[in-house]
Amino acid sequence: MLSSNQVRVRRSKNRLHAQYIRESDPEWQDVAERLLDLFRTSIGCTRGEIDEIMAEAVGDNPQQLVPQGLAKLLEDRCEFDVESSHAPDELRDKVFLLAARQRLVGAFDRDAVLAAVAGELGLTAEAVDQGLFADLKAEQRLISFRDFAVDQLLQRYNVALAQGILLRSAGMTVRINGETPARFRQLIRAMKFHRLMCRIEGDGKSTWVLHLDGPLSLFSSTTKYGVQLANFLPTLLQCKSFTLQADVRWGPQRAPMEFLLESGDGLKSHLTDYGDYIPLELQMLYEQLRKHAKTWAVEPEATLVPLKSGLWAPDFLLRHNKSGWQVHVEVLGFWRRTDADKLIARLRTEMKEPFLIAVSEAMNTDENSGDSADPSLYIFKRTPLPAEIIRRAESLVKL
Amino acid sequence: MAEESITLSFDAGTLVLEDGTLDALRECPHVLHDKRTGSFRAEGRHYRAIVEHLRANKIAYVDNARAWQETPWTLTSTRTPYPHQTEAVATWWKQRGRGVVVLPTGTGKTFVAMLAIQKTARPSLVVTPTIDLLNQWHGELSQGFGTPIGMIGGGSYDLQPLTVTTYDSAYIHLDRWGHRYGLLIFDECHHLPGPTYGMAAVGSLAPFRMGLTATPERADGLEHMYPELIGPIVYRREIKELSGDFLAGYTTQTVFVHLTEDEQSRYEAARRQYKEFVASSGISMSGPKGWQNFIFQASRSKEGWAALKAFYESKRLERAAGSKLVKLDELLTTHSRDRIIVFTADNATVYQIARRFLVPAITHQTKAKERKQILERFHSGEYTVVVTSQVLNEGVDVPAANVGIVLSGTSTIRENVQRLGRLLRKKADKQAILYEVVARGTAEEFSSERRRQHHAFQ
Repeated sequence: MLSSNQVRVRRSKNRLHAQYIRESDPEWQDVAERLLDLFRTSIGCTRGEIDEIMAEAVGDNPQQLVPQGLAKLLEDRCEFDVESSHAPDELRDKVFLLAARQRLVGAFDRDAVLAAVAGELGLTAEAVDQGLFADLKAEQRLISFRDFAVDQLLQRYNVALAQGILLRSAGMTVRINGETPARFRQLIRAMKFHRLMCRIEGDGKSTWVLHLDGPLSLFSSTTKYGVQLANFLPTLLQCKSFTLQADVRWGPQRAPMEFLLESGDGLKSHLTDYGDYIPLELQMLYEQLRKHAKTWAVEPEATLVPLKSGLWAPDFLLRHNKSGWQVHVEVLGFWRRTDADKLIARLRTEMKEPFLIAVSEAMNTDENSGDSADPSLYIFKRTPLPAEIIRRAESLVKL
Repeated sequence: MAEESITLSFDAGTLVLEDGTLDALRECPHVLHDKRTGSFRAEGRHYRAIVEHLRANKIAYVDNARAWQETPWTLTSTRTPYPHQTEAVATWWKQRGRGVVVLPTGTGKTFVAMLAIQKTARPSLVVTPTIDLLNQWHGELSQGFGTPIGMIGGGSYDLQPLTVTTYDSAYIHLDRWGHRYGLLIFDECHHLPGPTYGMAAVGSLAPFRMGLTATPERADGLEHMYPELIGPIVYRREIKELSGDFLAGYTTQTVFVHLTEDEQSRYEAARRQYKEFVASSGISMSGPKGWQNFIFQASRSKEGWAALKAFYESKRLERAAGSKLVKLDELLTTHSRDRIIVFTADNATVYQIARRFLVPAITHQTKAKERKQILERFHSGEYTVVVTSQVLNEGVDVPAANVGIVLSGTSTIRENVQRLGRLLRKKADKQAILYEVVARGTAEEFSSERRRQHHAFQ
């Protein structure tokens, strides 16, 4: 991430504008290439030396924020380690003890101390002198650098810039259009992972509005959850169409500011996207259900179900043609008995409409799952049977 | 009846109230309805007020929130408390176990905390500013109570009924410890007020809280937040009241040195460049936001940036003037039989001195194990000099030290009082000296004036 003084923003009234860079700009590509080369060739240098090289290359004045930010992102990909012919703490141990003894009798002689310790350890006095603080941060050496491409660096910069602003945010409102349940499940997982709380509103169709913050936000606006909100951003960036509005406390005065970000800004997530992927088994089940269900319409559920305790993103919606009854169906992947029971208990208290949870015996990670008399839990052997799903749906709505 | 009971639970720094009747929930103090979860919620710190309200009104409740039980602690130490220590704890307890105790450095704040832990008989968390203090508290509590002490911070994560942590870790891990302790001790509690660290006090359920400091006042005036975060100041003794009886006697002495001709001309050129920029851009440096305005203006132009660099250059010259190091050499020789702490404003100078005089250094980069060893050897006399920047300003015990040499520092009174405090821990008939080495003809003369505006230096 960028350090706070590297975040390049413009203010207009009470709004913050991130000054993104154009990733195709030959100037920035050139700068990125040069910086990458500098890091690639700096293996073996001390951190202090690299800092000096970087001070030359990107300076430290505020007109050079982009190169400084790029350098910071590269520095985050470096691994440093102590390199010394003798453990520095042992050198200090011997040198300081001897020096103190000399001092006590009023006969401190720096060169003599270094020479004596050098003689004892079979080193030169210079090696002792130089090795004395080789474990200080500035004296550690670069041992490896996780390389990546110019484009990746420039994309990462723009995302880091937005994250640098979100770090100071007290909460954000995200509007998401037309995403799949798989995507929403991924977003919900990410929210949980980053320990965020969410209030949700929907138009009942394809647009959902999420208000994200944390438990203490109810009482006073706090930036305690800024790190979590910033870390959530890369997952959000995988949505095709969204807008984000963040409530930011900016500068030393923590002035309230607004920050807007939308899919049109073109930020690219560095995460590998698995979220939107619909497993083949689910697609097949969907096709089979459509064929099988004569009196039911089957929809891959684009509709999310808002619950008191969060969002639920089932896989299918079965709608009975005549009565209009609806049954929500989710097929769980790897599951544990307790998790499945918890989900069912939650849905039972918070949802009015009937639902069916299908789980595979083979995917159970518990030793014994027992069998279930619960009409909302369908434990199948290898693949879920469409006929059984329909039968259960019919009994759930008492047809 | 059981169905009407209110259920209390802890959720990441907040207290969640569920079940019960709507009226009963609404009447609870400090409680808001949370649309996100459909439940009622309050900040963790109001736990005590809410439980007291429920009990007073005989409203049934199930407490799933607090994860501690009354736990008796026995101090194994046979130490007899000083009168001011007994008095401090008694007064604090009378104020329902909430409040700030102000005692000069070196008058046994740690022991006051231990007495408070024993009195309260609850699992307790001690929050402290630095890794050094973390280690020190860990050691003292282990000895004092003869039980394993937990530690969060400095690379450890181990929760025990008695645990020490740092302000940073307390803030970061609040969700995980907020419901586990009945008593919080905020060491050097002037660090607590503020939007970040303050959250640790806001989100904890602990009904009992004690703040400890020698210097409760803050430059930003946020000390007014003590009552809501900890409790009011309940007990206060000043350095002069306890000096001699409980603290070592001391003298302070300012030593002036001159810059070399070359340093002087570089210094003046740098100051001129800085001052001209300040004057030409019309910034008033005396106001509370002077420095901030300067940085802001400086970042907008080449001249401004050059002026900022010139300012830092002048600071470097003040701090590490060649003649200061010569004077230091002299003082080290004069006091070759004493135990000396050398204080500087920055780490670069610390290491410059450590290399030149071959004396151990303690900075934030020094690992816990090595710090401990250095302090032990300083105590035993194997080392007679330690050089440090701001790390030893606060709290860390160095009872052996009797000479302090301030080579450079900020102009804050607090830093100076704290540094003096390092030297004043009572040991036999110790007489302490604090030297302050100041470069003549530099801005340091003013900083020196300012930091001695405290009755301890008059």
